[in-house]
Amino acid sequence: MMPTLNNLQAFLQEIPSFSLVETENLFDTELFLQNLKWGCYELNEINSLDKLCKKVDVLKVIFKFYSADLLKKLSSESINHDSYNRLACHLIGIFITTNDYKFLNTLLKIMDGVLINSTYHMPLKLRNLCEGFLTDVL
Amino acid sequence: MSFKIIDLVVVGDLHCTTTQTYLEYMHRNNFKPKSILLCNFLYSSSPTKKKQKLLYFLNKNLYKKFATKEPNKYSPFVTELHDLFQKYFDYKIEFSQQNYDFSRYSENIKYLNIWDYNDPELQSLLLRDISTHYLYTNGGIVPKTLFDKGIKILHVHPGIIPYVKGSDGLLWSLLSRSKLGYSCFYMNAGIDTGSLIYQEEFEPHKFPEIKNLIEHNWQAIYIAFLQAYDPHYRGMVFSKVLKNVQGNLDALKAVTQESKGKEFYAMHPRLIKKVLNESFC
Repeated sequence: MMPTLNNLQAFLQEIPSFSLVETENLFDTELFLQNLKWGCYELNEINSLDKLCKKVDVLKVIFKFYSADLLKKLSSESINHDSYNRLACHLIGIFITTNDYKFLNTLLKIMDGVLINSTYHMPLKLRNLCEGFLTDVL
Repeated sequence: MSFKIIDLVVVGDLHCTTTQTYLEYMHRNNFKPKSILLCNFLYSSSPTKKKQKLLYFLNKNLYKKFATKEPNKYSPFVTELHDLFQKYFDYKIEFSQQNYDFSRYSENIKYLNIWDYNDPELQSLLLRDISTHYLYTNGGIVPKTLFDKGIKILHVHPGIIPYVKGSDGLLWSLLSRSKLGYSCFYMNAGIDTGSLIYQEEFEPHKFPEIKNLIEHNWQAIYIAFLQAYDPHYRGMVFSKVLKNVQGNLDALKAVTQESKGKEFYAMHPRLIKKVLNESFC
């Protein structure tokens, strides 16, 4: 499993980052995902990822901006493809940390293409890495 | 046999195995609800016959009045799964029996064609008697407005709340706690957030007969578990609740749930297969 995880981390690091400015009382999803450190998740980050999972599972879309508690959407624009790729990597990272299968459940749904209002398609390289991990775990 | 008539109205689904199982367990434990509202929930299926289809599109109110639904017909494979999954329980229920006779479960049965819990006809019946207890068995989301009016609806959820809330509770319980868990609580407007009355966990049974079938028949197996395995635990747990208060539901004690816990969503087929393989084989 280790080579897969190392490759996943490497993939995550290769996703281009942009300078995004933090805004008070606003949850900037792309900024949040960009700032996450693989495998080192604070409790509040786990809670936010949990709420993002709900967006995928129930609404099948993640928007760029929400209220700070993630309850209210503040934009109608879906996060970009790089952010969905980041999320996929972190769902594996957080599963390793928490052993909570609900994160893999969301990853599987993203891989299945459940997202609406999006042309997102998981890149072959990332899909292959995720599959490698899932085959070991499931 | 003498039965204790309890101040309970079962809001049943005419075509739901859970309704049948609850009633059977109450009956076997010598309880009879004072009445049963046996609903043909129309939201869950579209009309199949030509005349009814036409009526459905032309006039929904008229359709509701005359809607009929064929009893569930299970394939021999599913019937065999139902039998298999009931083999460890004290009572085996014939889910395939056509025109099931509910009359032995209560002296007072009312049959209704109902869209769902938002249907004014059902709401007015429920609100006519808010001093009683209702048992939820199926029928989708219960609107907040009913709770705001003080209605008391009991529910048995397949998960230990607050740790397993939401969809596919049976499977998530097995995956996250390695046990089947059931919680009886008063429903409120939240998702499985009502005040808790009783909960219990059980070891899952083993069914090696399904091991080679899971890969290609997981869906039929999973549905058969929901139809013929899960309802027995709901029936057992609810009967225990009734026995604990000798059928006097006004004596029920409920505690407010802690705000922690987890909400789960529909489980992906690959995880379902994992749970079926690891928990039941």
